[in-house]
Amino acid sequence: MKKTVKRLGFLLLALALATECIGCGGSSDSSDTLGSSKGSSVSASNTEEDTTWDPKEPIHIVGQSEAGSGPDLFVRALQPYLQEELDTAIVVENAAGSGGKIACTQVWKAEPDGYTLLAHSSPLTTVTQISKDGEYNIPDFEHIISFDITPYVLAVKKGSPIDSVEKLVEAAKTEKLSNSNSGIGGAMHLQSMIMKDALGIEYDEVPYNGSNPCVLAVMNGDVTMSVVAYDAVINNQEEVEILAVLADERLELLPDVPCMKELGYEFPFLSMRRGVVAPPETPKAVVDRLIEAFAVAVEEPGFQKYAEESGVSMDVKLGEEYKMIDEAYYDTVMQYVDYLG
Amino acid sequence: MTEILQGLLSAITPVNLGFMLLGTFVGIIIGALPGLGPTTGIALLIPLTFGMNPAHALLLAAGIYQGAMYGGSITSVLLGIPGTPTNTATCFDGYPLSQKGRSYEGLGASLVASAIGGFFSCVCLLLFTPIVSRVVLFFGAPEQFMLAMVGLGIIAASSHESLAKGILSGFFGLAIATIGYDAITGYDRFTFGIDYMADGVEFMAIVVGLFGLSQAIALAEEARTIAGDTKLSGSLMDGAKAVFKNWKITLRSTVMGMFLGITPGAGGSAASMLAYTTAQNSEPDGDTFGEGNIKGVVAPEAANNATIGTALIPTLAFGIPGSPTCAVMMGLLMIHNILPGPQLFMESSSTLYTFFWGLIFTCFAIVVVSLPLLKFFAKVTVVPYQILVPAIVALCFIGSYSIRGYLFDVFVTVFFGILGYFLKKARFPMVCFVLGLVLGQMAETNLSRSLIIYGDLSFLYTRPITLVLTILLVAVIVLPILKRRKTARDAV
Repeated sequence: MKKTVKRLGFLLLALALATECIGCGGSSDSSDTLGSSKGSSVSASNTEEDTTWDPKEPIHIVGQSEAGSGPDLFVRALQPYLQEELDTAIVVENAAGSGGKIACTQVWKAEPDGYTLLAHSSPLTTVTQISKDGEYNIPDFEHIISFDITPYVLAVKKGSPIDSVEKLVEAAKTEKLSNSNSGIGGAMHLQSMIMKDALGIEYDEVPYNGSNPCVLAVMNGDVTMSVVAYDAVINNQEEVEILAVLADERLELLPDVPCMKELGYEFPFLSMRRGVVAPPETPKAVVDRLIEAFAVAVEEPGFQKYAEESGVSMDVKLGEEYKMIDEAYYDTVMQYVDYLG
Repeated sequence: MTEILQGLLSAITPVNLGFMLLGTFVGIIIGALPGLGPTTGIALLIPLTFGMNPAHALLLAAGIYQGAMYGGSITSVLLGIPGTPTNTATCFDGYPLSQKGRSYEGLGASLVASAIGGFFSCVCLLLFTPIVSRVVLFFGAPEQFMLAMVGLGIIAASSHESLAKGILSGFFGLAIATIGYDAITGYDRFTFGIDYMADGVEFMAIVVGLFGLSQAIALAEEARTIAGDTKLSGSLMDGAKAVFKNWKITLRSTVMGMFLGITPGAGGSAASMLAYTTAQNSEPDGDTFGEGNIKGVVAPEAANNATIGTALIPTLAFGIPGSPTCAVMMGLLMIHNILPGPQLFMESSSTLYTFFWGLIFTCFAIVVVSLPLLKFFAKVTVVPYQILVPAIVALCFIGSYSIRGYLFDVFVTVFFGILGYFLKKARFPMVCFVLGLVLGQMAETNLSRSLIIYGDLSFLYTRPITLVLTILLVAVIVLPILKRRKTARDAV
């Protein structure tokens, strides 16, 4: 009896070790070469500057969010296809904290050789840059690709007497209303303040820690409404009612919900965009090659399937086009900078 | 109903049981390594499951979740280093047990208490999710504020030796909790411009220093093994028996864990701390807590695993994850096309129920998997200090570095390691410090929110749940003082 127990234990141990080896497999080939000199990569990119660029070292994509979070999983889902396309290891790293400031600063200061990239969410990083005096400037990064778009929506508790934007404007005249945001000086707060101006109404701002507690606050009646990114209420439309999408057009996933533009309210919309940028002054050949590789990788059926199943609305913008979006975000944030407190 | 049975049948196929055991094993190891916890474990797992059979992926995750929540207690008991944040309270009595050579008992008790807590919680998840999830809707900002205040009120009761030292420790914990971005004002507070403190000082880095590193310093100073001159006595079975003998504590802690698991804003660390302090203050031998009382291991370990199932309830019912681990778990579910939300239980798939059964079975799996391991692990308490102390120091540093990958956190660990060493010499109660640290932000931000929403303090008595909690708070503060007076009078 004792022997079998012992054997079973060893078997398990062996099994676990085996899987852990598999687990490491994906990243070990990349970390092996971590130590190789940075100098070689620089000289390589210098000589080949005018022609094409072939990465010879692992490419590190530094994310601003924790491992396992939405933006992190997104890049990790793309990783195998990108790896195939560029024929080099892609290492996804996480430098979470301080609203993305840590990751942005790290990549801003990195060697502009294409081997260190930033996965960031606009306009969140721009808001952080301005509210926290970042040493970097988001529009000055070399923009590669923006994958998707998530607009903000105006959500109230299901069954609330306020069931349209029109009624909200009416109610605000007589009642004391409140909105939950994810912290003063954050992107959610800014979008709510901009909307408040455009609608010409008044309501209280109640800050929570993160967007999920904001939705909860609508559900348990702490606040009247929340201007919140669509993905936070995507699974929850039995408890929460969406009155409007803060965008120029309706959302494909919400065909019956009006957008602000058709209701006659046009103001800057701070829809969230995930994307990848490179440090400023990355050689053009490198940027072009990366744009090309990312553009191919996102079209892979395997990745498209992932995006669809996890409820991402893809909206690919490449290079300059993406840069212009970030520039527009920058101008908007600067215009409303007084709201950031 | 048929889906529940289909899920059960699918869960008990040999392959699926294999995945459960594997997940549990990996989970226990991840949990036992300080710095890695269930969140990291599942986050690391997700990319590996792209293209995997959903049932296999979910069972692996169930095992990792359950295993890691338990596994953290192994290092808590043996080395005094909390393996995950939720095992912090286990250090208070688990490590002193090891110092007395009773590490087998401590390990046995934490194992069985974890299994029981996890079992009830996951059964609740399987059977009552649609009903129980409504609890979330009753806990707004005022209720969360008062709940945190009741927890903080326990500081008064938990400072047995000296009320002044207890309150000082508590306030120190509260002070540390104020560091970082304040959502209410929008400013970074007391960060001295250091970005690594912008989201607060990392909790794990603090407790690894405060408990693990300070313990290593003491060990080097005393130049002894952890178990000292005592021989290893007792057995895992003795520990397991203690869990059943103190069934009241086990059940009460399980219920507390289940309740705090659902409640927004609380979570595993708060649950285990409150279960510990409740046991400390309600048991006749409460004075011996902190000196190696087995009840002090049972309570927090039952409570922290009891948060597992119920924490998933709001995640699955509303698509709103209440903890980082649940957020990662939700990511995994969505990748495998199980979309959380109210519709989930109407058009329920058997895969979901396979996952629920998996969570229930992994409560047994942690016992099966860890029994052969614990025999070896317990020997660490008789390893000579010349070998053990450097190993513990290295483990602490690797642990605090691997939480977020920032060297800054290692400095935090060193700072709190040295501080903890002196605080312990001066006999400041660490329980009060951790209570302040865990509940500080919850109390503060929810008070601010309530004041913005209601304009004044009327919410304290106009809302039924806050009224009950307010009365409870008064009782929690006044009763120990009366008791203290009475004992003082009796002594005269």
